[in-house]
Amino acid sequence: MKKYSTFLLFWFCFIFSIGQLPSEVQLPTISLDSALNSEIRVNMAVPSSPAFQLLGGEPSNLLRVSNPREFSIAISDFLSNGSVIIPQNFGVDFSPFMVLENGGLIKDHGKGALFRPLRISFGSQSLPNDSLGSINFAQNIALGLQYTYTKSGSSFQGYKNTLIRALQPLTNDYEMRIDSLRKVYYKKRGTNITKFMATASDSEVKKFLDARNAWCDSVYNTLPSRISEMSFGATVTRVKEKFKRDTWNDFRLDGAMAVKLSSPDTLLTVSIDSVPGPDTTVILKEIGFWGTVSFPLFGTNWLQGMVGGNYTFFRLTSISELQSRFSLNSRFYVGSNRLKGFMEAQYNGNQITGINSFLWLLGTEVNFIDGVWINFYAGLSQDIGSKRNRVVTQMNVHLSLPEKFKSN
Amino acid sequence: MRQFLKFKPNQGPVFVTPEFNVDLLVGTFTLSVWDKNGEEVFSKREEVTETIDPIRLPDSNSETDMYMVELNATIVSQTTPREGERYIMTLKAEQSGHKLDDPAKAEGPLPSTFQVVTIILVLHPIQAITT
Repeated sequence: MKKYSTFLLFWFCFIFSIGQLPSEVQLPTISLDSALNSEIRVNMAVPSSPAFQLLGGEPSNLLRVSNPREFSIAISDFLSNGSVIIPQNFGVDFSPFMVLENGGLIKDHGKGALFRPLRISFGSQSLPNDSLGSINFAQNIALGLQYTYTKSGSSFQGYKNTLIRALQPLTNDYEMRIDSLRKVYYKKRGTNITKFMATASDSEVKKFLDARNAWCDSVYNTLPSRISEMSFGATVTRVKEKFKRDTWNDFRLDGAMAVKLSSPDTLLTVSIDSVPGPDTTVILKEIGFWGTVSFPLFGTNWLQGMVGGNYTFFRLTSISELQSRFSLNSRFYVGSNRLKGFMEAQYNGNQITGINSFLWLLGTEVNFIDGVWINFYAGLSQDIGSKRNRVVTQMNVHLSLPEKFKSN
Repeated sequence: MRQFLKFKPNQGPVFVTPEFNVDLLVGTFTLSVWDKNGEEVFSKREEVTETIDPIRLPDSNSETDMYMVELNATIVSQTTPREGERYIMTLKAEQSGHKLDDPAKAEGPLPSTFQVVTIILVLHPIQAITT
């Protein structure tokens, strides 16, 4: 397989470069909504992707509860003999509503809270031809859907409302300055404003107020130090950090499904046939369903519990019938949004082999720079019947758009 | 934008109350009161909220008193405004528990950018009737 050591390097450079874009915001001419759309992206929790999950390769089958994002990438198996290579597992996850919304193609109109949490994921996996013995599958692709229910206070919409409220004092800054300028304008005119308002005609009053507002705005725009501009970014950052700190472990409910298609090569032009047979080129290999719930523990914002399950129908070969397997997981986190450790227990049941197993894991999730998450864990897999144990390790990287990324 | 109201001198304080449709908009407002000489006698700045306490105007003991109440609000829609959504801003006045005429009202399309909306209220005394 071709070495491609600049893959991650390119991504890191990309993130650093776009993360430094200036965020000039001017009140009062800015559209609050559009400003918020470009400023309030919040990267909370490691992205998850059912398509990526179904491709396998991860010992843990827990689909982590995550927050909706416009776009994220998951990769694993990108190291070989100490070198970075094209990842064997690759997943893309995106929220169509958020992509269209941030691209300015659709407006919220109150439907955002309903549609933002719906994500579509796509994954591909390249396997060596001999990795599955005589079955000889070379290419797997997976498509998935995921939806996350979040309490209103912890939802994106709740966060947005909180931010809008926090930005109100900035309009107060503006109002305070403009108010002073109005008084200067009245003095400048030398008019008894009360008598004028009592005696002037409607058109004269309108003309007077229009001229006053235009003069106040023009002077305001020349003021050397504008509190509003400076405060906007700081306020957004403050609210964002508090929101992540306070709600990263709140109650969330996540449901997902994914299908996996397999082909012996990369030629996917043959029509997909769900009926197994020797002539089928692309077969429906697996259908997986997940449900996960996350919740805070002991009322703190540094402990989180996660309980989930998975049920997957699969077939081993292109001519075999669909079988099923399932897993039940519980995971406990300790830490913060950006750095946490966890321990996990997983029970696996398999209809075909009849071998049930436990998986015990310890791991960590680190968001060491904006938009880059590393998930690492290790543990013990224990077959219940044979009592055979084996050590498992896993590391994968999840990339999401940095919080300061602007799409336009 | 401008409305004339009449009040009764020596009949108790006059209260004015700004109101906004806060389910759609956010912002701040400044309410200033100017006397008959064109001097500012009162000013208050607050955030737009659901409940704004009535603001008491200076007591009037003279039938020649006249006030101008100026309400300037800087408002913006909470989200991208929908077609047909409007801001409604009113300034009510009452004296001794009785409303003084209809409230002054400003209305228009809900702004997606910060916008200053002004209401002017001119308060004239009711002249005493002599026989």
